[in-house]
Amino acid sequence: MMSEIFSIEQVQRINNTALEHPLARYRHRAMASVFDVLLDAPSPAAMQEMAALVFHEIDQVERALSYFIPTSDISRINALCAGEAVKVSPLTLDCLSRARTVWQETGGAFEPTVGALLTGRKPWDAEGDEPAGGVAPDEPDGPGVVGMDLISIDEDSLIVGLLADGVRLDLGGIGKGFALDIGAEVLRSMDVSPFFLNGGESVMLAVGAAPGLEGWPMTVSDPRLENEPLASFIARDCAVAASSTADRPHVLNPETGDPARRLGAWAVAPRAAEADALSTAFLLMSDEAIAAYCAAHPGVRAILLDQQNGDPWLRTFGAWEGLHWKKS
Amino acid sequence: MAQEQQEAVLSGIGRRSFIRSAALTGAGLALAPAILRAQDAGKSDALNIALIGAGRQGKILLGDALKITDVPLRVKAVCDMWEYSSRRAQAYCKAAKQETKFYATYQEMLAQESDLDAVIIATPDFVHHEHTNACLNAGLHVYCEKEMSNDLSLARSMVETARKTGKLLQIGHQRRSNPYYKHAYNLMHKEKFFGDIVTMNGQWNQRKPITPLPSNMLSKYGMTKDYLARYGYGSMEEFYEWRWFEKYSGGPMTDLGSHQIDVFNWFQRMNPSSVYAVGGNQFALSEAKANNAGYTPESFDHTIAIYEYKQPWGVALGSYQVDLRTSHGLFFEQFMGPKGSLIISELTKKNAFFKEASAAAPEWLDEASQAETKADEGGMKIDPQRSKAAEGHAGQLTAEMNKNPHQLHIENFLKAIRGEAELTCPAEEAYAVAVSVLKANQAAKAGGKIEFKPEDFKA
Repeated sequence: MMSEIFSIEQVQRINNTALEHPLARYRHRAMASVFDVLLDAPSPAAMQEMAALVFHEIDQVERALSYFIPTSDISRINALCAGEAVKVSPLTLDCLSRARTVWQETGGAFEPTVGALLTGRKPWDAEGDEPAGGVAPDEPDGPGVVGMDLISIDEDSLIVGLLADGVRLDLGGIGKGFALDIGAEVLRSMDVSPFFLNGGESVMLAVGAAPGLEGWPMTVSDPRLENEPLASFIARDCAVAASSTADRPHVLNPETGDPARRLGAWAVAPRAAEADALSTAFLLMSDEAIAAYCAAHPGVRAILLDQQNGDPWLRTFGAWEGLHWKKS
Repeated sequence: MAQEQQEAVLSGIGRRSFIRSAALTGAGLALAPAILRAQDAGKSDALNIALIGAGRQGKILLGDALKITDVPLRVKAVCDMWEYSSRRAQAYCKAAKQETKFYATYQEMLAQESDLDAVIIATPDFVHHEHTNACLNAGLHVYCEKEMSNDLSLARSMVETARKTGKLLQIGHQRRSNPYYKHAYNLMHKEKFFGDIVTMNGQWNQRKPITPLPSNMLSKYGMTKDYLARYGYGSMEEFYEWRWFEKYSGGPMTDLGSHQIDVFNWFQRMNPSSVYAVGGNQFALSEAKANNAGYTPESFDHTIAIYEYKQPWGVALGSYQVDLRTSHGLFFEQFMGPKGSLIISELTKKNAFFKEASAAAPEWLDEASQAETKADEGGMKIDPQRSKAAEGHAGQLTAEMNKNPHQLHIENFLKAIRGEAELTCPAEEAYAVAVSVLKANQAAKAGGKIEFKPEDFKA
């Protein structure tokens, strides 16, 4: 069993850290993952409804974006032939626009249509009686067609169309982060701070600071090993996401179809959707391209994990402060 | 078996069927005309609609309405008394590129908006009649959420106003517009696949913790007692948790149970002859106390009701449970007859029909379905791909199955306004459902059985 890329369990770790007082923790299943909301509350019951509002928003994102729910906007788009279009919700449009921006700015390393090259995807909701049913779509009839430029997005009319047959849009690489951003809007609108949101241990949003701390303590761990922290840092008012080829062997280079070789990538960004998408893109991008991306995007930082003679080899990109290495 | 059955159920709803259906029905819009049409919606024959009640359900209805392209529409106005809901709806309408005006009272909205065609109402049950009657009297067609009312005389007033004004009144029992349900209805009544239905079973289980309103909600968006009183509420807790209070709602039976009881009546093609019900709210009371919820839930947190339907072939029994203490199994309806059985739900992966082993297979069942049936009384999913020949018999599942259930029901309403469809849930039929459900509450409170007379269901 692979360890979590954020070390044993980041959320548990936060609770175990010497806080002034414990946080209330709420859990919810969505997108075949567990989502957590950590809030500073006098009792778990006191803020339960606040967490419920966040989880409701996350469920709405799943209903709009799921690759596996036949009525989702994404399924409706994927059912189209070339030249056809459907009207989508503002949520879907927002996520698609942000996905397209990351696609453009990473030179296509983040490619939401690369799913067409994959088979045997696990539904976001593959078990149990979840409100949102999961249905695995048929594989495309012919070879998959890849290219975000084959999706036509009309932002004024909210109409999205396909320009080629066989394109399969899959926002799994950005959807959980996007769900955290949407959930966070509820908390921000109610002036809730601090809070910490976790989307399936792969993307997190840290706002304000845990009680008595400067922010939210995060660890970077070797994804191949159990409980092997490599570095730690404090996250505050930012999102952090991680991707690894150890637990996600299906990260493919959209240009070549080859699997990514890098062991792991961590991305810090102002918003969770972008962090989520970038952590995947950074697995595939060259060092030069990542450095250029971080330089052009204030607030974006990266850590890359490769192997050198069997040992982990960590490198950082962007303006890091307070990153502590656990060992040389 | 369960695994195989699930796989069979999961395997069917595929891209090919969508493409085929899309090609046949034009469900996908051709790209260029679609964009043109969307631009045209600004000035052509688009319907002007408004929403009263922009809470959680209102926002779902708004979102689904905005996906409709068959009938162009503009969201001209949204009315909500709570700043939090109003602000979120404003952000939503802006993102949906709508030029929408916002109001805190429906009176102001109706006075200011002169060119509305229809209104969607998603407010608590106890004001449905007030909002619906005012809008009908203002010459507007109305889509009103179920339950029509928590008071039958007020529900009756809605039917009467619709009759008097000649305007359409659609009630939000959206399963009536759901292609899976229509397909199952045809299997039952056109094909008589199940034989005479003798037993029904349905449930909606959904755990609802009883907790206080968060302090941030109260400090940021709390409403004063005077302001709340103007709208009929005693406190923020009563406003936010209105489903727990008898003066605002019929509780879980109307909020959730109403959907399944509607399907019982619809599929039985008659109203029940009696209902026996029991229930309680000890769990809700204890939890409210333990969590310092700040309010005392009045409605039963769980109810079990048994309905009798006097059919020509004997009495059909329908057993129903709603329970807010558990989420087990969520929601579905089951129908059993001597030749076969059916499970149906808005959660479409549950949907399947089963042939009784002793019953002869109709000729339209395809070989795969027959083999599956012979093997282990297995389920055949309600989908044309697995029993293609059944399409011609039980009605084809169309490209509509990739639309959300509420979208289809609102679409039916809008098409009815344009004279292109009949309402699938007109107020008279919804009134009979309201009688069936509210009387179950009454029976549960009294701890006994209530006999219905046919005239009880007439508004």
